[in-house]
Amino acid sequence: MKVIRKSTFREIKSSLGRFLAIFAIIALGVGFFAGLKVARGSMLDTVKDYLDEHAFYDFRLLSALGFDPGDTERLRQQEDVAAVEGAVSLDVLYQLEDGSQGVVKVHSLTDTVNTVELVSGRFPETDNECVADSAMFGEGALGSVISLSEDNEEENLDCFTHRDYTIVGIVQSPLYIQYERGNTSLGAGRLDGFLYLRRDGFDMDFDTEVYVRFDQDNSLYGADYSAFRDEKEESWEKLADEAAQVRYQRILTEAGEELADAREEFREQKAEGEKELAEAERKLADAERELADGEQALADARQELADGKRTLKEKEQELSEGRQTVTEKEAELADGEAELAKGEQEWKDSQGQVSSGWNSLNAQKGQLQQQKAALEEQSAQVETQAAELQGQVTQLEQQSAVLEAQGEQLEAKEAELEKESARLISWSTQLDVLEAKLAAGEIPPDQVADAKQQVEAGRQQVEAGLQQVEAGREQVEAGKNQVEAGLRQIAGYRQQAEAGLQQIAAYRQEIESGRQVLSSYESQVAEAERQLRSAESRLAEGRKTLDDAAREIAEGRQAIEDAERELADGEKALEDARGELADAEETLAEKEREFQDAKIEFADGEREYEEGLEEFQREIADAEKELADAEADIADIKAPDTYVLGRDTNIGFVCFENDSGIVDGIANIFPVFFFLVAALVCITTMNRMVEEQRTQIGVLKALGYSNRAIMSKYIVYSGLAAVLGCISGFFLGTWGFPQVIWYVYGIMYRAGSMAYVFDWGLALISLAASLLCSMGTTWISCRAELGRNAAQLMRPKAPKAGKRVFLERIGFLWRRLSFLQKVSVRNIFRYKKRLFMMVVGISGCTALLVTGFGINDSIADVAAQQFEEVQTYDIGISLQEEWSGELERKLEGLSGLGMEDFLPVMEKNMDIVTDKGVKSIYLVAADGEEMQGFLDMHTRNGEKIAYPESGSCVVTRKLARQYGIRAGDSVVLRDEKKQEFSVTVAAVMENYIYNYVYIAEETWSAGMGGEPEKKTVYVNLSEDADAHRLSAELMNLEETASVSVNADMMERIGSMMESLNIIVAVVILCAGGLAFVVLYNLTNINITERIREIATVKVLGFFKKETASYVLRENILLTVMGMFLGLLLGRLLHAFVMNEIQVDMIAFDITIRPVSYLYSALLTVAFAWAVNLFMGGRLEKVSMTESLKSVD
Amino acid sequence: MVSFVCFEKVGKVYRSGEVEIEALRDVNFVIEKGEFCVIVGASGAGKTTILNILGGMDTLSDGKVTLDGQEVSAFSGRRLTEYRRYDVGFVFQFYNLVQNLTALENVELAAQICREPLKAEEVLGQVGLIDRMNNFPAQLSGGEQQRVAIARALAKNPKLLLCDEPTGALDYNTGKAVLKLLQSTCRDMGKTVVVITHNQALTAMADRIITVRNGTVADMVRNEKPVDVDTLEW
Repeated sequence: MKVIRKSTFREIKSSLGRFLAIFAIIALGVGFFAGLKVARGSMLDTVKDYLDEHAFYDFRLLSALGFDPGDTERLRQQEDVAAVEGAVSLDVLYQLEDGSQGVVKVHSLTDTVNTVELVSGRFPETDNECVADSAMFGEGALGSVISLSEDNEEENLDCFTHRDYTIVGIVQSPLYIQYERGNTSLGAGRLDGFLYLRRDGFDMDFDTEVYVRFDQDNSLYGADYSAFRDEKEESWEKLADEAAQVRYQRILTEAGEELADAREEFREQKAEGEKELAEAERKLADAERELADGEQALADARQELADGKRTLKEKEQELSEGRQTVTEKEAELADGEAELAKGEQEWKDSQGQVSSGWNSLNAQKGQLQQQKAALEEQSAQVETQAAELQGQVTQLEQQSAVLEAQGEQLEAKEAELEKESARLISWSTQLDVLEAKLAAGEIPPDQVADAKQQVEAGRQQVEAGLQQVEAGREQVEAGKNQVEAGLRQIAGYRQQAEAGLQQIAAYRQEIESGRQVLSSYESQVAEAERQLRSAESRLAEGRKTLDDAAREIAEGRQAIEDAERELADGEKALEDARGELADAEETLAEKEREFQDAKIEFADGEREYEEGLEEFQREIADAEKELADAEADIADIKAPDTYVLGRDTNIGFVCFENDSGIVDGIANIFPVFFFLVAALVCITTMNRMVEEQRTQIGVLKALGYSNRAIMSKYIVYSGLAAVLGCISGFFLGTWGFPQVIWYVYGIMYRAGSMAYVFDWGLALISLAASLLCSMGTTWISCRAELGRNAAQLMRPKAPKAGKRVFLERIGFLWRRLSFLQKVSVRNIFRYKKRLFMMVVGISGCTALLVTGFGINDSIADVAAQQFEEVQTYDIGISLQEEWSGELERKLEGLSGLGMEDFLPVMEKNMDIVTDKGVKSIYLVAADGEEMQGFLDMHTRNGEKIAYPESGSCVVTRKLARQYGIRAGDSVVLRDEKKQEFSVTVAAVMENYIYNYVYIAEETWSAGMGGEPEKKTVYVNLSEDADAHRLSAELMNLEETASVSVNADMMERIGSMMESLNIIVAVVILCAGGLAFVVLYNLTNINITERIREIATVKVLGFFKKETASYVLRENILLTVMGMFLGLLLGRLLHAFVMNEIQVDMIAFDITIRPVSYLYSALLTVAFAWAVNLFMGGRLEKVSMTESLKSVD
Repeated sequence: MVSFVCFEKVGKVYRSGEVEIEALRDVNFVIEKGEFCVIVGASGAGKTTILNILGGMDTLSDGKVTLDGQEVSAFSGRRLTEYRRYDVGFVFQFYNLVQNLTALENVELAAQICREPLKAEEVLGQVGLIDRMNNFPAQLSGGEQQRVAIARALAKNPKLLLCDEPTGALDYNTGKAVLKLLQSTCRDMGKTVVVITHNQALTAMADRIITVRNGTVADMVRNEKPVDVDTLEW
């Protein structure tokens, strides 16, 4: 078993694509199924949690006079009550810092019900702080101020403690889970958002409403809650009345007390006024006396001023004399100073001369010294030269002596040579003789030879001797010459030396005369030095004289300065005196002015007194009248109406119920598709796998493994893929789908973040379904193969024989196909299971797309159709009271604003009683003639319907379908007092929003008696009218309760529907996933199975494109087949889904636009194309050598 | 005069990761036009590599291969495909017929992509299968299937017929018949036929015998007197 397990895991690794295909399709199926199933539950849980957390109210009690804040205790003690809290809410015009304006609803913060959630910032800590709507303000608004506009009614402004409130926090409120903020009678008629203040931010002594929260845990929208609510409602209506009554009584009492207080005050104030008048009279008399005193004081002051001016003149004279003296002294001093400066200059010049004398003397001394030194040096040089010359002379004399001795020696040698020469000559002569003898033959012959020899030798000797002598002579001659030259040279040297000595003697003389000159210079320098010293002593004396003069001058300057200071002091004193005098003059003038003012004031006071007296009398009269009015008002106060409103009056709460229902419908059908495809994918994949491993199975079998063991491998393989797929799909789906859907709803709703809901039951169902899809199909695949015996299995399976397809029998068609197309057609029909899988998968994909787009088509236009095709009027007004002629006149007065036409009708909430049940509807009773322009009655096919005659009615489509009402049927209409009458259905009309029954006015009168109570007005506007302006005007009429602009409704619903785009996107994504898995799987199987074929075709020389189309054309063909089937299926699926999406009030127009079919088809083709592109790459990689391998 | 088929110093090295395997080295041989050539060698000697290269299914690492004057070794991508498509006919050991095409259609499969194909019916007639031409491969015997494969190769009217162990999967007699068909194709239609085999016995019928050993050509001889297939024994 271990080996099997190993082999299983290796198998997964090597065929990951296949494993992932199973994984993916199971994940898709489970994800889709579980995700959609869990979505609505998650949404409801989330909203319920949010509302519970924020203590959402159950009842809201209203009274025209409000409630007494202290009166809640009794309410709180009722059964099941969790909390009761009074609150204030008021609509008010506001203005922001940037000048923008609008209307907000201002609430008081409550602690126990409808608690708000702080998004950022903090809660108010003082009565002039507020927290604001997160849909209206961002975090940037923190710290900014919102002001109550001046345009508000005074009465409204008085309800607030302040005019400006600082935004300190951004909040969400459970009262506004939807984006819709509601209508108002102020401004443009729509609320921009809300604010919350502390209770003391309102200056109101009563609460406008009381919120009640019960202790209950019923489901959010279930029947259990409705029952609970209905049960409570009755008793609480009484309680509300009682509470309002308390308030009413109190108001009466308080008003009475106030009136009494006012009277008392009036009396007090009257007495006070009289007292004040007497006081004023007394004050006037005092003032008159004071004026007389003032006049006397002024005269005294004028006299004093004149004296002062005279004294000042005298002092000025004295001062100018003193100034004259000082000026003279100063001139003298200036002369002295000039002289001193001159002396100083002269002294400085002399001093300069002396010091420059010193400088040149010192320079001369230095020069003298240098010259002396140079002279001594010269003299020394001359002496050394003289000595050198003397030495040379001595040497020369010695050399001369030597040369002379040499000359003598040479003389001697010459002589010797002379002697030898002579001897030789003689010998020669002897030889001559002997020769002659020989010649004469005188010599005996025996001696001839000898003689000849003698002669010969002798002659040779002589010759040699002579030559020696000659050489000797030459030597001597040379020697003589040398000696002579030497002597000549010496004589030359001597002359030079002689000349040198003479020159030296001349130098000596020069030096001597130089010495004499220097000594005369020295004596001159000494003389100059003496002169300089005497000049210096003269300078010192001069200095002393100058210093004395300077001191004298300084003393003079000091004296003058003292004098000047005295003068300045005198002048300053004079100036001060002048200033004082001027001040005194001014003061006097001021006093005079004051005196004049006082006189005028006194006159004014007298006049004022007269006026005050008059006013006092008038006020008294007014106050008396006011008191009388107040008394009348109190008498007018009426007992208040009260209301008990449930959660179903909260827009957000109501809308959420309808909107969340849309999801549920879709959840029921889509997953079936995915599971079907999943099963098909598994079965084809596992079939192929088992086939591929046939031999291996045979071997295992031959080895003795049991069928169970062998099968376990495949079961584990597919089971593992399925379990993994199921887990991933489940968690991704149950997490992701609600998230996406919640995100979409987030555009409209704010109610916290999505809670993850884990549903055990759903998980088990998912797991079971996926295991069935995977392991079940595997078991089927394996069983067939395992039934064979081992030997059979080990033989290669004969390739599936080619077969002719039925198309071939249609000759003319078959012949038209190109050869390769024929191949593809045959391939397609070769494997029926795959064909089926492909067609189902692809058609599923297309059907999903068609449905997705179709949902959008059907839902998105509902509002537009309702208000453009059926209810063609532009504005609907509900009235507080019945239609009156006065209102008619008022409306006619608005025609200037574009009001074209209007029609009062009765629109009444009634029950319709049919065989299949009772249903709440709107009954409209109107004049058929006049209804023409306001309502377009037609059938679903567009045929006109006439307004019903007396006794008959027209019902709307959804109502008719739900309750099986047909034209000619009789229906019963019943009002809240269980009064009823019956009418015949004349026709069924097309209508999209709400259920209506239309009857003629006479029908009502006949059935119920009395005229219909017309409290609704339909209004048509001209083309260019401003609907909002008009709606605001209408709101201001006291008769109107509410105004709804159909264009607004259309826009609002339209923007809501835009969120559907995300749903469509999710559907497209899932469809894409489906197409991809199916196509990938099939192509994968095709390629692995036909790898030899592909390689062979490649070897045969098929081009890349041809190879690809050879294999992938099947995909394309099957895709096209599946697509067409899918378009058809999509239509059915869409109809089914739309049927499932039941929203009570709305009848969808179940249509799919042609373009949606086109988009779906194109998208399907695009998915297929993408897969083909991807698989084309894999084909590329198929090696041609595969064709050479043996069949395994 | 250049030979019809010419291998010059052909070398082939397979790289798988770090490992290099030298499959062919310095392979030189020629085959003349119209010859029946047998390339013989033991398993793993390199026969198939030669076939792959000659057939344009694989590229070489070194050297030069020419066929009828065009340098096959210089081709790449599409040009190589065209070469397979127009110049070479293949006969596989395991026939490689497309299972869901009839015999005739299998021949047409090849014929319809060529420039001057032979008529499929005629070729099937030549291989003696005119009666079975509408049968699917599964309905034919091994020899018949191989004959369809030969017909498929011939229908392309290729310059060169390459046969990889054509008798490998056949019994003795059927094998002989197939060889006979190949021989007569060569003789009668003048096609150049290259048969790759490990069976030495086949060499006797060839005009040229190329012996491959250890990735190189060990011997190339011309057989001046090829014998008739019927006389072969193995």
